[in-house]
Amino acid sequence: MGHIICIISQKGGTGKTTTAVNLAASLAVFEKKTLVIDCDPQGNATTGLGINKKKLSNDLYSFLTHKVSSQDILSDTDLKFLKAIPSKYGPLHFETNPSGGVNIQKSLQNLVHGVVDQFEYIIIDTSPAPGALSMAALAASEWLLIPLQYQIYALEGLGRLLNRVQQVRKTLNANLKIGGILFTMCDENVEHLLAQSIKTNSSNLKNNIFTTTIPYDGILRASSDFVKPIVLYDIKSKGAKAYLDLAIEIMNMLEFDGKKIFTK
Amino acid sequence: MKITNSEIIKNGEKELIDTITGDLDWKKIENSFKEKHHLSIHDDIEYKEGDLVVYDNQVAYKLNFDVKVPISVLIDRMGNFLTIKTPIDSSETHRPTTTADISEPEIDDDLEPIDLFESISEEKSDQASFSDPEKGPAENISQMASEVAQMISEINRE
Repeated sequence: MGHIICIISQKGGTGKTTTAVNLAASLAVFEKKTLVIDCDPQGNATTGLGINKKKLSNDLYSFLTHKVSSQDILSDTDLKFLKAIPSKYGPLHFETNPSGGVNIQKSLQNLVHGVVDQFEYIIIDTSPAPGALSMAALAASEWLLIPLQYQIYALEGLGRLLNRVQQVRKTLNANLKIGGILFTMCDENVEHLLAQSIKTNSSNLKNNIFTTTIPYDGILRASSDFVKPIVLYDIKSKGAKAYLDLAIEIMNMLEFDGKKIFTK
Repeated sequence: MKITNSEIIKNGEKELIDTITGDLDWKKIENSFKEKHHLSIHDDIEYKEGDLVVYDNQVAYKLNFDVKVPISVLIDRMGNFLTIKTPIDSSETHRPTTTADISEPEIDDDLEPIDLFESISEEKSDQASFSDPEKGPAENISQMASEVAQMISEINRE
């Protein structure tokens, strides 16, 4: 049974989609059967995986509204071990009309439960807006991966997100846990106050932060312009190395209870 | 492939909504509202937000106002009035506004999606981690990091 990881942050521009696409691709490079579910109505993860939206006849929305089966919406990618459930704006209807009577939570849970045995990892990309589909993603997930930048605003947003997670655990999904915080777009030449604080703080926040950080890398941006995961665009780049390291860290965490079986 | 600046689109949409809102004929809206709901609109009207939506298989502009009761005024792209909706209307017609041919959505009798969604959407702001402008950045960050660590610890321990 696969591990279900939701990439979530209530702040825009933190690298959610970049992380969803590149973490999933990195897991697939390690021959882990991986599925990306694009729960962001903008469908950027779909694009980032090189899927042509114009050629899609069905997407996540088609399943959630009971028009097709889960197998009908599984799309191949350029990586053998990576598949996707794409979005092409359809789910936007749920965000603009959350009270439309569709039980999105139940539909998405049905989808995930229906495919979870086919994959070792399911990565769910979400929108920063706390809409109905994001709530459904929280309800259907086991673990949360929270991309953040080294900013004080990020900590404020994180507090609000954690409140929401506590509510979801009480009402929708008692098994939801925080997998970790991933710092993204890090400038290697600057040590930010937040990074210093985490190192010196007596609190255990550092235990909840992935040791891998994602550096700012122009090649990451270029790979998204070429609608490819970075491992297919330039596997030797520092961005690709960071996401491969993150995949190793996550495999060790979820498959071997934190023991360093896979090494960077 | 991004081919234009999203800020330009966002600003353009905002300007469009603002222009439409400023040009509304409130006399006609009031009359329609009175006819449909037997309610009068009083002077204290506050514009909340506007959005582009799909209504009855066409693009429409949805403008939300606060009066004595909240209402939505829908106008088609030619400027013609379509309808006024209140929360009562919306709760009576739980239908996705879409042009797609959608089969009837599943409604779970055991759950009430709207109540559930709304109850979870309420921010518990008293518990959120906020920065304090009277403190220095290092102190603020340290305190917020501790609060966040505590919250994560509670979530993962339970």
